[in-house]
Amino acid sequence: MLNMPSPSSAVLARRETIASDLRQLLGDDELLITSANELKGYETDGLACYRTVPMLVALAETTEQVAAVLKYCNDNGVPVMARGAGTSLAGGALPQLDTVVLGLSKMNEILDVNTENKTAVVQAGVTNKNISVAVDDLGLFYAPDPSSQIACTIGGNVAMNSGGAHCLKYGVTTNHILGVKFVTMDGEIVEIGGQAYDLPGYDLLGMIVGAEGQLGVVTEVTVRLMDKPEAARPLLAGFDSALDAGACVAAIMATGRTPVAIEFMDRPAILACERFTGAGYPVEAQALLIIEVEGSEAEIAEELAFVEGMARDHGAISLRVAEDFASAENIWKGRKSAFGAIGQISPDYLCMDGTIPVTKLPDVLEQIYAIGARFGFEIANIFHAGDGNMHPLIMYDSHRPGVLDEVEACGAEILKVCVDAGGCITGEHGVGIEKRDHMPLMFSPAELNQMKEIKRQFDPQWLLNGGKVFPLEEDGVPAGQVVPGRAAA
Amino acid sequence: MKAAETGAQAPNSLIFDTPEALASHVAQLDQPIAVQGGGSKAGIGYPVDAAPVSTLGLAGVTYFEPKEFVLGARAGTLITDLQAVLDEHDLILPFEPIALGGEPTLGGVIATNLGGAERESLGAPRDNVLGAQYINGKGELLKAGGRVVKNVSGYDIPRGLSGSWGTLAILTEITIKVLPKARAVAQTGEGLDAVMASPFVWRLSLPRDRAGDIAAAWPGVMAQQWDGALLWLGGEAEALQGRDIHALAAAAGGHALLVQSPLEHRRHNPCFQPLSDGNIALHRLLKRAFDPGGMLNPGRMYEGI
Repeated sequence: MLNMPSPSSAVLARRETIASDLRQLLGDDELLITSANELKGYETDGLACYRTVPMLVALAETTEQVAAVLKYCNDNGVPVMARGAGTSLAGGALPQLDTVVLGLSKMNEILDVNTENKTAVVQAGVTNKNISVAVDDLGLFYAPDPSSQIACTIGGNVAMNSGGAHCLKYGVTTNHILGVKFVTMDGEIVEIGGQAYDLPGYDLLGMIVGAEGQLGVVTEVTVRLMDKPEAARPLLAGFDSALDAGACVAAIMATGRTPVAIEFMDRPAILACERFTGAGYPVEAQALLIIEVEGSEAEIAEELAFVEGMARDHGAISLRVAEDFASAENIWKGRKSAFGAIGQISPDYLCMDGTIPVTKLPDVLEQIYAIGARFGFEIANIFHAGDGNMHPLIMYDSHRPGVLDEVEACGAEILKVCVDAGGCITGEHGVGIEKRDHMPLMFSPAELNQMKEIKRQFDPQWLLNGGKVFPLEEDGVPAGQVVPGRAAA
Repeated sequence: MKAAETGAQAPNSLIFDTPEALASHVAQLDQPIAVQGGGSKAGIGYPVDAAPVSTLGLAGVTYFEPKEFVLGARAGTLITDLQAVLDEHDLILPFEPIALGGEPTLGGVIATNLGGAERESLGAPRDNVLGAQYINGKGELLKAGGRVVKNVSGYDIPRGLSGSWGTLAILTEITIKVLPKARAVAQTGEGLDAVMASPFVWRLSLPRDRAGDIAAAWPGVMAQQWDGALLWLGGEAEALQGRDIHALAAAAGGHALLVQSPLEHRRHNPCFQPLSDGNIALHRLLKRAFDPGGMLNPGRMYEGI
């Protein structure tokens, strides 16, 4: 169970005044949420084992409102946190008791699509999927595709530098952002980048993307759009050992012929997803690879032949190519609803996100299973294998007292294995609160301090989305009162 | 340490054999330094009137896993040396460095984020940086990022340092993604040599839908890249029909960098695109976060930065 910073009693004591001031700033009473019942809707995110009801929620409709709220919080020492759809798996959108949540979901307009520049300007609350839907007719799409893309917002993607299955070929969020409208903690609105391919001056976008909403709040995003491939086709390859499947991935990647996606599922995941979606996954297999290739029909045929050959060489026991568009859709639906499917077979799970060099896949998988066995947890593995981004899901039942501590200890061992293999503690979900205390596995105190110095410069009072990314002791934030997390129902 | 004997280095440039020795030198500074790699881009930015320090002593590949397409090397490694190492494995760099005379180093390419023709297909240098070891202005030798492509563990400092022209930190080692040769794309950028023969050369990065008008109006020599979104303009004078090129690029929604100009001109005129007050304020925050004493390349890009 992670410690949270102590809420400021001074801030809590001023709750009514703050609410009244914010109402005035927003100019519309409907935009400020104060009732306990409604505030509860903002108590957690995709890491549902931690819950804290925020002090207030301010819903912004304009950049100017965002600027006014931030400036007010800065002037009055009030903790504040921007929130999109609240799908973070790392507790990135978890508020604290004294937090004003700045909700951006009402800022959901696509402002401009430019086909010549292949860009779209969208508000932060637009969902990831809706960008691609809006430009589909133009033969374009927005490439990074987190599994939560139906719900998650581009603002959240920018904060966390989100990835997704097809990032193997196309790159992650930071490779697709050309500009942002950025609001600083003292309420300044700054345009960074735009329609050109690169930036003048420092790579501020590089610093802002992935800073987990701790440096400022992004209200508009200019994204780069890509040409839709002519066609794409997934192949399902079943193996009778997870290690064979892992070796197959390493071998495919070593050729340099990068498929657009290589996803891995082990037996618990295959069974859960098949039961959930009936996508036609090979239920007899111990491990499954979904390998997608794209291009013209001729290119697809050539790439499929190559991939099938590699799978056979590594002992594939079943091979099936999606027959048509509907079956391809269904295969991806199964994969993208995998976390939900695991939720059907286990009351709770904790999703890890370590990344490792692909050549280490078989070895690390073996170690993960051994760690799970030692702790007595079943672990399902569903992950982006092509880039080594693992998602071991540790299944548990939160009704057992003390189990969360055991699960977190199990997860910590898995992350250490990832780091020792030359990888990292989080590939695409972000640090949030969940991996906050594991940052010293990767960084020395001086290295963490350099990151914190950036935070201090942008937000000297440490008001914006505090309590995350860095271990608390290191911040000088007294661990003091622990806000008890409550397990998901 | 010893004075550099080769390369396009300023005379008496200090050279160090290890990142630790360089870090210790920086930690003891009481006067600013001018950081240099191969010197191929020394003609860009305000001249920095400070003791020159070279990264050329920090050379060599430190990590190479061809099957993972990942390579780490010291910052002073010459690009030509890296290309030779990669060539043996049928691999290539994922960006095309621009040689503006002299021998570019890996550190110089990343520190300037000046990519060549292939931005659209293969990405800019910054898109392929996985990790970095660096020395901040206080002389601390630190690392950030790592060796894997997907990594969101903490702030993205390696990308933040890309394009900072040595004003935030001295890069000492960089890990990048490399590519199989099979994915190489034919280069464009025809006519760049003729442009470079001009006394003034501008690089304009523009929205593609606005670049055509500027290209059509340019009276001098010109090369186009990125399917028309990047213009290289060469000429006798710095302005186009009396208009300031920075203002022209900004009006079109892009930006311009003066990559070649007489020294005397550069002393008094900006090479880098002037920024809005809000934007430059964010630059100052980063400068203070990495180099609070203003020891590294002060004033090369902007006043005090």
